[in-house]
Amino acid sequence: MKNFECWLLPEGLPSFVAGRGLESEISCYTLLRAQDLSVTEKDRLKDFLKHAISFDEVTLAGKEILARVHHAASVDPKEISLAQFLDVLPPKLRIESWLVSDSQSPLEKLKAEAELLWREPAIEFIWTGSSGDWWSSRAVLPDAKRAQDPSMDPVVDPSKIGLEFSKEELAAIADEAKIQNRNFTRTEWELLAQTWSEHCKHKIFGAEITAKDARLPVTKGIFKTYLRAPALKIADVEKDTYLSLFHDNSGVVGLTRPDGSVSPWAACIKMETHNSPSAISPYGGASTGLVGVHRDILGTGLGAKPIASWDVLCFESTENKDRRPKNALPPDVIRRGVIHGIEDGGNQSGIPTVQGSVVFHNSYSAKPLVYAGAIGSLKREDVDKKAKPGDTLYCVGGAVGADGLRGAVMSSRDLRTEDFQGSAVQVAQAFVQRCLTEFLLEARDLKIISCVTDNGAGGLASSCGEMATLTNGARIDLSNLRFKFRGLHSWEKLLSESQERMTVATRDEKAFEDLANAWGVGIDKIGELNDSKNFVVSDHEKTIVDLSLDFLHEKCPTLKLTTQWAWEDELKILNSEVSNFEDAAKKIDEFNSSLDLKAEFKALLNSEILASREGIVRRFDHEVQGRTKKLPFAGATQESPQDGSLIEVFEDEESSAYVALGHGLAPYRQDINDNVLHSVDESIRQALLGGMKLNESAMLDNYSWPDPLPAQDGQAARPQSDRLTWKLLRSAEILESVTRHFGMPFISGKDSMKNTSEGIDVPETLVVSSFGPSYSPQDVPHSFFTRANDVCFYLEPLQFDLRGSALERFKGRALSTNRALFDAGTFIGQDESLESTIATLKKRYQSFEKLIANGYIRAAKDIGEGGLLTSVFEMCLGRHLGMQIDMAKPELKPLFSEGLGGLVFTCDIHQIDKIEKAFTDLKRIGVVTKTFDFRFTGGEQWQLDEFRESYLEKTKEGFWG
Amino acid sequence: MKAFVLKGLGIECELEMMRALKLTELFSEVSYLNIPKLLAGAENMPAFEKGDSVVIPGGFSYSDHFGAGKLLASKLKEIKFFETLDSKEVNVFGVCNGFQIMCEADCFGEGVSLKSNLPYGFQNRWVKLKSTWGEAALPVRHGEGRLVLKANKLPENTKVCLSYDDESFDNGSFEKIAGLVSRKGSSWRMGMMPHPEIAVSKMDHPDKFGTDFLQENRDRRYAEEGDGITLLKQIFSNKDGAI
Repeated sequence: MKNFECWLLPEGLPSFVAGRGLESEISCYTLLRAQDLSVTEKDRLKDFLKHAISFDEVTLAGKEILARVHHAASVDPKEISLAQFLDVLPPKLRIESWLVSDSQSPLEKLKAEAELLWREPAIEFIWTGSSGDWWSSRAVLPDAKRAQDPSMDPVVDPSKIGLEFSKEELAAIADEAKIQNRNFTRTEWELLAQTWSEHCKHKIFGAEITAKDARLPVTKGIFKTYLRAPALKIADVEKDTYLSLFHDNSGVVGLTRPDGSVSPWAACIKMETHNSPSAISPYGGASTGLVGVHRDILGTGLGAKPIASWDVLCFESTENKDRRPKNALPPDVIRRGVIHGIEDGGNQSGIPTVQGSVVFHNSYSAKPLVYAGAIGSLKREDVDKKAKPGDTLYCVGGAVGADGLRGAVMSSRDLRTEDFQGSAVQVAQAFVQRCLTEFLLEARDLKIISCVTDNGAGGLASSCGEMATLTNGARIDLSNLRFKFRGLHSWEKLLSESQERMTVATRDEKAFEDLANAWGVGIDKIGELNDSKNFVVSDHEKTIVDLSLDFLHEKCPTLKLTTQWAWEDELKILNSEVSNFEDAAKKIDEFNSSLDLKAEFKALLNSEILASREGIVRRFDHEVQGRTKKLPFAGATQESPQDGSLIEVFEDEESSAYVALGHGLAPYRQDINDNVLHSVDESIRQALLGGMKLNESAMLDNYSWPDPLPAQDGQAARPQSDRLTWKLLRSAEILESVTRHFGMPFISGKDSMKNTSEGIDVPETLVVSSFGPSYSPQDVPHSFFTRANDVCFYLEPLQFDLRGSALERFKGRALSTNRALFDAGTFIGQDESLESTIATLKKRYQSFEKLIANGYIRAAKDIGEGGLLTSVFEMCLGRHLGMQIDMAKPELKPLFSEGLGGLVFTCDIHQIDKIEKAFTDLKRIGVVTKTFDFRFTGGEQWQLDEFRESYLEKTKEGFWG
Repeated sequence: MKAFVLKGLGIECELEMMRALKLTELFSEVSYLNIPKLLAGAENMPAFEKGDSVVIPGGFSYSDHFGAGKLLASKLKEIKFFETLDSKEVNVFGVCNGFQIMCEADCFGEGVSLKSNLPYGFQNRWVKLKSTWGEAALPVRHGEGRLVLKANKLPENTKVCLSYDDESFDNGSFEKIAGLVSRKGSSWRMGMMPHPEIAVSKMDHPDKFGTDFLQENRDRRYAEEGDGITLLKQIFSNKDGAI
């Protein structure tokens, strides 16, 4: 930046520039789309940019004009986008422009540099794909001319304006229109499409499912039956622990201190997915996903403070050779964009990202899955919302633009087949939200807020519509909103999903407005809550929505689905690879014994499945707020990945409690029993290693499922829909069983059911997260070896097998004839193998928890992906210690198998008897040694240096971006 | 001696800084100074006394758009923030983004700036440091911590007080400098990239977390102050001008 003074911005610039930083290229794009920026405004902006970016123009041998931007590293790429739009920079800004002053650099080097510097493929930007080809991510500029505002137009056929409803829904709407004796307006149709979308209404999770087969129960809704009912049953008894379930923006658990005393503070938790947006705009989609879930926390009770985040990212494998959707972005672009998005969203929000997972699978080419979760802290007394009729409604935070229109509607469809115009994806502006958060939390503490909720999908329509149900009515007026640009139509104002906005109800207007002004946060008074039973919206004295709340929220027809018992079909698919059993067993044995385990282990550690995630984690601030008591990587080398997180809550002298967090997923496991049980088991086990108190804890479920609905008119047939529905039902049954055994209710969750693109289904992905109050950091184990001569024990995983193991996936072929978790599949209540497995796990974890509470376990890790050998290896990394392994020579099955409930740990020599007493199935793996190697009793010795290099290579070469 | 911790507009580390400053037990009072309220005129500058300190914690002020610390520095210049502190002989201590803001506001003289790390990118890891007071291990969490000096020379009155001493970390900073100090009359200005406010207990270090096998040892070590608190004590109790 050559001229510093130019940053003292002139008055009258659009709000997104003045004092706020440039919002994003999407804003630039909407800005231009409005095209009613006055000439003076435009000139000022141009002038400002000309000073800001120093560049010169060169004409290449060809006809292209090349702008060479100086000091590229300190120029925000977003400014360049804007500059291009305003013709300050030529539109064909080539990658060479990133050259600082060294124009002689070879192209390869420039490309690499550009990839590092550029944070987001801009509107007119050229990336290199994995093949090294140039690839353009140019979005289509829609027609800039604004038509007459159609908000008031009566609509007869919603499909003409691009809205889809089922026949039943159309009939329900027609009935209501008949009662009111009028046609609904365009705005009302848009509102209904939004409120009744799969995204907001969770129609599939609420669907009535009829079984075509007597072996299956009929359900009045998966959510109601298997998640909510068992949770409420527990919460009814444990009223001081489970403070809020399912009805608020996040679930709330009351905290206790390590000594068991009750803290006046509580913690809330929520996880969201942002899959479709991340498929189209990886950076924008991921950053809004993360910043969006922070607003769920902020909108809990009377407002909670986000204190930690975690993410689960599912990417297409870099080695995918299968068919992929034709417009899907290259996997490298998605991976790097998403990671950058999380980095900026999290770091700029000042919320630590304390843990995460990255999973690869070919079928994530359909859509990457981006899960973002957050934990918040609030006082127990602030858990309940206190809205009353007469409260004034304010929209606070950022201004309204056309960004994110129809986001909820879009995410409920197959995006790439839509005529996507770019307006559905936003880019997070963490800064605006940070200011908003500080203001709202102070308002909460001053007790001038009676209700708060976030503006996410559906914007004001959704937040005000939901809040209206608390008092049974609301009236809002859109005339006084602040806009990013002029010319928005009324329906757009109502439904805009512009981020960083919250809706607040207050009874103390003056105090609220004064405080907002003091914090410099924008507020718009938009209306009031009442008990009129209606939701009424007007804009400049014209009523554009007048619908009864009962109709809006209760009259969406329940979806009806059918399914049938699919276990036998499933088994056939699972066994297809080894269907010729006898021969297969022999072949598998032969192959297994031909494996050079040392070479395989080294290659496996280098693969995308197991390679160190350090390259990602270091880019996410995981210590801000000073709460992270168990770092993601630890040891003297800081190379040893840690299991579970431990987060301190120290809001005031009274709080001083700790929260443990763990999560799990196993989408690569084809057998649904395997998949779901591994997810939930891993999440509990991880949280346990963060010190979680099992009997005060809770879980979250986050589904990302391929579309289970049968084909609609004109769509390709989906023969798998019955099976997908059956799997959904089956998964929920397993969760119910876990809840019953562990006494841990699901207190919040989210389901995304449309993860199919061009006929490609993502693997059934269920992320389960466990969290709860925890023991003190002194007693919680870390996950690396600290001392030579320590004896290392392990609890062998149940169902210990190579099926679905990291090695099997890495080799791409079956290493075990056993393909399913259980022999038979019966449903819950009658499935003894399932029930007894969960009961065994519970017993094991309870014993382990007691040992942690007493401080007996010093280092502990779960036996997860990669099996026992990988766990031990990762524990050795912390201080470059090794292990004398009690095994004559390396053996495939015990070292590489995976299963449920596996734990490996060390303890003090004086406490071995206590450990031995706690378990009947304790095994010894070996003794920790001073040298950085594995020694087998038969004499074989593996130097760990080469394995370490292999493990860290992806991080060093910048694979993660 | 009072301390004032800046808060708002993207500063993120005020809560833990507040805790750490209280733990030093050096201040009669530690309170927040809300910059947005100050800028909006909703609050006035507090009644500073000679020897008080203003602390600018880390974060992403204005999301660090246009370069780390640039916008907030220009805002503070607008209200003549640093001049006021100088006239009242108040010390200024900046960490991470705070240091960046101070550099942008020319607190250490002209030609001192913090640029993007080389190799490029944000890094969060614990690093070994050496200072005029000895060694310490603290976390760094920044993407723009490469100190660049005009003509490779420090301005007069500005001294190095902290440098990286860790083979696993290099951000390209000139002579591995991690912190600077400059004196102005009886008051001083100091900035550093690593975060002392995080290292509250010995056990906060990634290698020390609960590694002791005997419970009584662990409890004792948990109560021991971390390197960050030790460093803060050394900085703020420095009466004889060693800084």
